[in-house]
Amino acid sequence: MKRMSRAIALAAAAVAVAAGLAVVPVSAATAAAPTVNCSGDARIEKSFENGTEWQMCWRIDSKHGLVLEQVAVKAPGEDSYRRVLDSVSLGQLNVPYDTGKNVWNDITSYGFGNQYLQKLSAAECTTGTLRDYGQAWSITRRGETTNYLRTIPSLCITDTTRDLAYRSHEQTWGSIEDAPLFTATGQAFDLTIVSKVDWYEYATKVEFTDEGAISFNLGATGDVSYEDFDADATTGWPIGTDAADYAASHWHNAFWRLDFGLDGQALQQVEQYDSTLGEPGEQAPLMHTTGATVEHPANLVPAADTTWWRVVAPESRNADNHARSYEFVFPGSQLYQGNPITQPLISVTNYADCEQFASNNLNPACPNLSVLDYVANSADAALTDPVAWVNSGFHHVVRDEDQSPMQTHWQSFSIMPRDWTAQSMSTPDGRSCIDGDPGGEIHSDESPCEAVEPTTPPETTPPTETPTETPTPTPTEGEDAPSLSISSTELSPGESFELEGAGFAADEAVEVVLHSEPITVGTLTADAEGVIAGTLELPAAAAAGEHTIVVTGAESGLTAEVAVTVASAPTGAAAAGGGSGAGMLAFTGTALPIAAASAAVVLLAAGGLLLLLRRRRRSAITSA
Amino acid sequence: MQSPPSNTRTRRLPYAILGGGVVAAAAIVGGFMAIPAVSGANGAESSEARALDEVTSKPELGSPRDPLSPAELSYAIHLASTDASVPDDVTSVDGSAAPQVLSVDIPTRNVDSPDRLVDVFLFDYTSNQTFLQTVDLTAGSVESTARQGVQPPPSPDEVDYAFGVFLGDPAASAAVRAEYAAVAGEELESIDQLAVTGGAFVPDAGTLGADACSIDRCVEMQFRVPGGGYLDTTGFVVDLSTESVIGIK
Repeated sequence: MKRMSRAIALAAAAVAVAAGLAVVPVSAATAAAPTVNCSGDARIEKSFENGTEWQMCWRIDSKHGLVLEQVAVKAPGEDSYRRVLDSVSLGQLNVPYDTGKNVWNDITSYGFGNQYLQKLSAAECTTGTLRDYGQAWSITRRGETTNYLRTIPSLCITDTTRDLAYRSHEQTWGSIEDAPLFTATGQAFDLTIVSKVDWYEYATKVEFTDEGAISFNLGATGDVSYEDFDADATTGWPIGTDAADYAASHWHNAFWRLDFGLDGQALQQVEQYDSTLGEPGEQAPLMHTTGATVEHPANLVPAADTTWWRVVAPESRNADNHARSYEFVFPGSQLYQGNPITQPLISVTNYADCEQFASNNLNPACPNLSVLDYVANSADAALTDPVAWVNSGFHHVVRDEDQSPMQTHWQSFSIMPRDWTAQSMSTPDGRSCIDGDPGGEIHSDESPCEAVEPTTPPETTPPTETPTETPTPTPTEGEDAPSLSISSTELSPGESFELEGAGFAADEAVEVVLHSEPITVGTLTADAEGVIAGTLELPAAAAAGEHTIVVTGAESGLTAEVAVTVASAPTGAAAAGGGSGAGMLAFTGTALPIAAASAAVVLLAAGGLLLLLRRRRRSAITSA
Repeated sequence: MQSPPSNTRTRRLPYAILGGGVVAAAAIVGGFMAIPAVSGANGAESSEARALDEVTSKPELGSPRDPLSPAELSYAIHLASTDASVPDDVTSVDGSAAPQVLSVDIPTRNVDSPDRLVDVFLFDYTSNQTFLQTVDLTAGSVESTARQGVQPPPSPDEVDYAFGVFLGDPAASAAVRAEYAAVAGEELESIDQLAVTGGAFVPDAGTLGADACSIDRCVEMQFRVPGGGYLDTTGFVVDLSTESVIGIK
């Protein structure tokens, strides 16, 4: 069955490509375009060269600072955006000092917007563009209230690139130059604001990539607090001369509030995956990674450094019929153990109107509560509409270089699509036909690439996710493709058969080879009209199973092929194929892991020959 | 470097950029905030701080997640402040008969609502209650929730007032005034002489002396001398509900 599904997938991909359809097929159940309730400069829309697009609304809240809402991504080839996040912003910044003398809650006690939002100059947004936002304040004296508004350039939108977004070189033996080389410079953009809360200045930066990932970054700069040179050798670090001026170590516990809205789905779940070592294997112990749904609101702590989580929309499926999800990626997050609120890495709750801050909640409808309260108060509820409170913590042990100003230090995490699309959003045309085990040959030097399953004809049962258009089986390269027919498609080793073909170059020699393990059958000579005809004998060494006879004009390079089934031979031939397929996969699959140099050389030679032959293949094949 | 909105005059102070020898300017625009110019800055300009006209009838409304226009902002404050949920004996930070406006934002919830919703936080110094007035500009209605013991960040107006309370207490402010005089060579007489940051003070188990602040509205502040260092403000908070300075430890 695996083999069959592979063939179907290959056929589907080939059909999609041949019909000029999207490289990344759209699932049948395409949701309606998500809402985007903002206009003008409040909306951000970005498209990348690979076809990925992002759309969102931004604003600056007096307390949360940068707020992004209705965040949606459109994968290359898709018809419309799909929602990723309903909203995201900081939910708290908790700063306890190791001296025990201070704890700050910068979001709920000061706020990252309004008077603490910083005006950005063009000089600190050198490659980006600035957008304005308003600062509003009211003054009440003697019963009269006057309201003020001022706009300042405060959001910097910067386009970024990253070399080596991917790289795959189809290098042949002994060469360092051979194409094709697939590599790309990835693109992204980030949104940054700066908020100044007394000594510290915080950059809130969210980055969106052309591969669908979002990273959340808090950068701290400014200056070491004048008040905090009261530490000792264990609670601080000396940054004056000699053993003097111990600046207090402290924590920046940044809570991000991610309200997920994956593909607009009503049902979203959180899953935790853990990996455990299992029984001994041939070379190494097996490792088993298993997932479990987090059924209720919970405070999540990693069981090991291999623990990971994702938010999944079980009813939103990509073209591979896999549920779309986003996975959390932590490059390292430090969890402050001095406060129960900062002990979990992620707290997951169901969306609730009044739960806006990770601690010291300011909504009078659920006042002064924290994530721990949110979880405890709904511990029996099914978790279906997740908000993730992500604790991105950083223990800042001050160093000499923090003066002055303090070098910006960043604390970050990201969310990365897992099965959002059936292939990477950056898949180049030359790799577009690869989705799962490619099985047979991949003609990645063609654009779009072409997958060929040499020995298993595609089944007639249509795959469930195949695009509905019926493709026209057009020849790929015009009218002059040669034809080929055979007297019988079922042959025994040593049996004679007749081949007829047309469309070759006049008078050229045409080589006849049995694949997939190439065995030369013989040579025919075309006449003045390019027609070939002759009787040949199937080699006795031909293994039982599905094969292809490929003919190649020696001068024109034109090829044609016809499928044949070889009946069982009395001895040993079937074993050479290593299985029912007897194709290239089975051959390479058994030989490569051995990694014997001689076998590798043989393989490379065989593969190179195959590639040369198939590269010239034409698709107008006539079967008898 | 924040300076609260105590007045509307503009003044300039010299501001040296290290390394380039460039002298830029630190301007207190509209008396609200000092924003140092940066060498090479161009093309990005702040608007003038403007006092908004009072708006008492429904203006043209933006999309639900757009920033508030001046008219929407003014109308939202009008609806929030005059709603029946606001007590008749409401007082602001200076004791006068008006609610104290703390903040005006688009709500960070119901993101897909088609209505033009605005969260206006008010404080009533009579009852020490925080009011969250969720104003529906589309319908002209207000949904109100109120409670004691919820302390959103102080508005610039409140920080300004708190500074006045602090400076007006000769005993409590003596140490800070002496420290300022030593650093700046002049008497500390006005908030305009400092960069001031103010936050909501919420007492915790480790703080002694400020139990009143669990209900009263208290502000802690940090002072910086422009071009100089910070002044030690760790020993006090200002209780705006009682207009007094509380020593803390």
